[in-house]
Amino acid sequence: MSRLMIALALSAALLACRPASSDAPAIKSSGVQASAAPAKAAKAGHNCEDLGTPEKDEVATLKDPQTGATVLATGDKLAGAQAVSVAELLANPEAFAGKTVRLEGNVSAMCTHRRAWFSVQSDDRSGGYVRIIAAPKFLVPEGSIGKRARTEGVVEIVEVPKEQAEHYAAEHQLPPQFKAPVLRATGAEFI
Amino acid sequence: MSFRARLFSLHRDLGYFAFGLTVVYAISGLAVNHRHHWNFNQSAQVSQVQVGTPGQLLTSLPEERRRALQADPQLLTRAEEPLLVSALTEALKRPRPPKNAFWRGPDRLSLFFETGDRDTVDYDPAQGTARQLAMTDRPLLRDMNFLHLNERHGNWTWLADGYALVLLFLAFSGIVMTRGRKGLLGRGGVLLGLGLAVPVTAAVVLRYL
Repeated sequence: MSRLMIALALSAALLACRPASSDAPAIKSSGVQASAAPAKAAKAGHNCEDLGTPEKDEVATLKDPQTGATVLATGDKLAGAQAVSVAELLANPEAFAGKTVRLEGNVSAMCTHRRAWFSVQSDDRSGGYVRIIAAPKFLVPEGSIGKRARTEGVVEIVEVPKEQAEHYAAEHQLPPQFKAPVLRATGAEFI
Repeated sequence: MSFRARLFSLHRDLGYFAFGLTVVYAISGLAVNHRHHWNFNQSAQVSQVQVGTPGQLLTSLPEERRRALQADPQLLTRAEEPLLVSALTEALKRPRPPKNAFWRGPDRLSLFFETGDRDTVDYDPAQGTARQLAMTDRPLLRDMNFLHLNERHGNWTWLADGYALVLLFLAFSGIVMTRGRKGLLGRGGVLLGLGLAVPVTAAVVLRYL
């Protein structure tokens, strides 16, 4: 009996020591504000990068003054930064790198497990999108896909590792972007 | 009552008390540990139906316009998009219009019938197909994951901390409860050493070698 238990424990130890597959390299950022993301990249499946967790996960429910619709506000209150469309940002990302801007558009994808980012779709049919990095400043409210979002933050241009781009394509149906602008957001409103 | 007897009683009672949370954390732990293999919170039901191209669906448009759209669906204007969304809603026999609809690409018009992605339809105008995707929470497992992953923070953080302390107590009290050859100075000690070697060796090998 005791030999059997020792054999089981040894087997468990050996199994635990199998070499791990290497993690993908971190996202490289070329924006003015350095990337704070440890960005442990995903291999496949529902395994988005860990961007950290905010101290508070608070969502305020407001009324949109123009439409009367319910708005979920999270992070810092929007401060009225320069409004830029997704298409404008994608067309000339270098012009906005390091600047604080406001983006508005439809939410086409989000990190459902860590709630760390969401993507805002271009209003045309191009399929263009910008990823909005929410964590560690705030978490994206559950069920935000399909809503309209307003958000503000600093534009960064990032290089996305191949594995991570493949993850976004496979799990979030986002066309691969290997070098693209992202918005490191301070706050957002979901309508 | 001796110290060892008191320890045994406390170990037994806390063991009963911790059973529920242990089951929750263990099952959710298994589910989340394989997050790269599956969606541990939701299951997806996918179906595809043929609903027709914009030229076939937009029956209210003049014949000439419908022929043009039949030849090239990309000619659809912004003014015609709401008509298409209404026609799709009807073709899909949905009782209510979508909460939102927008293009996720040139061949992908997404219609959202529920909050979030719980009930979405991706329409391909060139093929005239509609792919319906319904996401539903996995019964019980979604609730277990909610607790295990501490999704709401707040008071649950403290309760989970308390549970962790109970587990620590069970671990420490468990190793000193038995005396003799099967206790810490005998077989129990060997197994304790092996059990400690698993995380220590794994951490050294996986992180530093």
